[in-house]
Amino acid sequence: MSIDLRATLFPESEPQPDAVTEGLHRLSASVLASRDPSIWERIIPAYTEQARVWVRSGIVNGTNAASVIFISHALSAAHKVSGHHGAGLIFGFVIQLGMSEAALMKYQEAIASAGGLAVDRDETVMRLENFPETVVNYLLKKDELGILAELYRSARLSTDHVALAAMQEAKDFDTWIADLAMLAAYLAMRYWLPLANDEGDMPLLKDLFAESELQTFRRKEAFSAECFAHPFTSFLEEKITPEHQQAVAAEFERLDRVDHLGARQWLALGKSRFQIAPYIGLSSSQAVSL
Amino acid sequence: MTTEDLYISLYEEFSPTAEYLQADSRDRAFLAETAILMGLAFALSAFVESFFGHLGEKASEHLLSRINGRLKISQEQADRSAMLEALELMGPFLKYLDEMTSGQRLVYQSAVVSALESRGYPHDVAEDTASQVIHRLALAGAAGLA
Repeated sequence: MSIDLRATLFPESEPQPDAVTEGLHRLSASVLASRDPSIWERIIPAYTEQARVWVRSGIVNGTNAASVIFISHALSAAHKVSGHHGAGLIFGFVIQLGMSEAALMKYQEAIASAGGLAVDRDETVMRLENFPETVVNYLLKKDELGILAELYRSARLSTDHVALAAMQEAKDFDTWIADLAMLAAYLAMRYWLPLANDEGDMPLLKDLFAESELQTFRRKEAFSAECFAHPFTSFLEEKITPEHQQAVAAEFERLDRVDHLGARQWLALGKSRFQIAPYIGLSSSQAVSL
Repeated sequence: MTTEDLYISLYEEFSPTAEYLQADSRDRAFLAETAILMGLAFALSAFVESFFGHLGEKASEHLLSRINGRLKISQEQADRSAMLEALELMGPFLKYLDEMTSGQRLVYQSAVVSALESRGYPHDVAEDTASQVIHRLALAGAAGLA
């Protein structure tokens, strides 16, 4: 499956892919079958890698892509703050994501028959697009503010590394697109963890964080906003295509013959703005023994 | 290694996070190429002040004044030629940076970190950027500037 960069940069609701439902179902089964509290130390990295694969292979796009990354940060944050108990809190919601509509109905009927409760047939199974908001609201309702604070840190402080990877690492076009899809997912994720609302700074955050940490969040938010604006513009200008990048490579070669320093600066600038793929001019850069 | 090689390696390290130069601004706009060059000159000025302060008599006041003068022009006018001249003047002294321990280099790195933090960089990004700038300068010291 190829990545739909438009769907990634313009996040919209999409159905939860069956592959994700099945993957989360298998994950849930292995956690539920284990009685070992240290299972999270294996499960969370394994899930994080799985989420990367889903995003980078285009299995999830848009809101769903942001949500699968959010799950990873929510699990890590909860485990870091409250260990086995914390990870279990978040995992209760992940289990629901791994259920099909039919499985949920069957589960609800089993609960109802055991407890004599009426089944609410209007209740729908939670899907990826609802997960982050549900978790944030749950943490607020249950006063799990330590986990919420760690989730803010984990999610918001990691975007820089993803952005730099998208600027610098790809050795081919497909990898660059996968890196940009990861970046878009991280950038979309921050909407569920806002720093401000229409009335200004979120009052809760002043209780959760020291002013110096809030300043770091604000600065990183500014950087994130630019990291969204640049690829967004490049995409609209049709610069993120193999054909355009081929033309850029040819233009670099031409400029390099006329003005070596100017050409290399032009290249570095274009890469920092997501206009030029990281692999363009690579052999020329590698020739410099730095 | 040429002075131009050193310059472009510094620019390549600095430009990816240069958007932080306007992170504290309420009126962020498209970051001009000139702003990146001016920001790099600002970071190098912080390095020069700290590094040459420690070198003492190895570098004359006159030389230091010339380096600072070029970097000032570069900071104020985004003048790349002035920065290249400053790097060329710094060149013979960068071997001392290469010969220093990582602990000694950390002093100069801290000066660059503080400078970048004063211009909108979060601490972790300022540390990474400063570390790369110092690393590039030390590599140039090891290779010698032609």
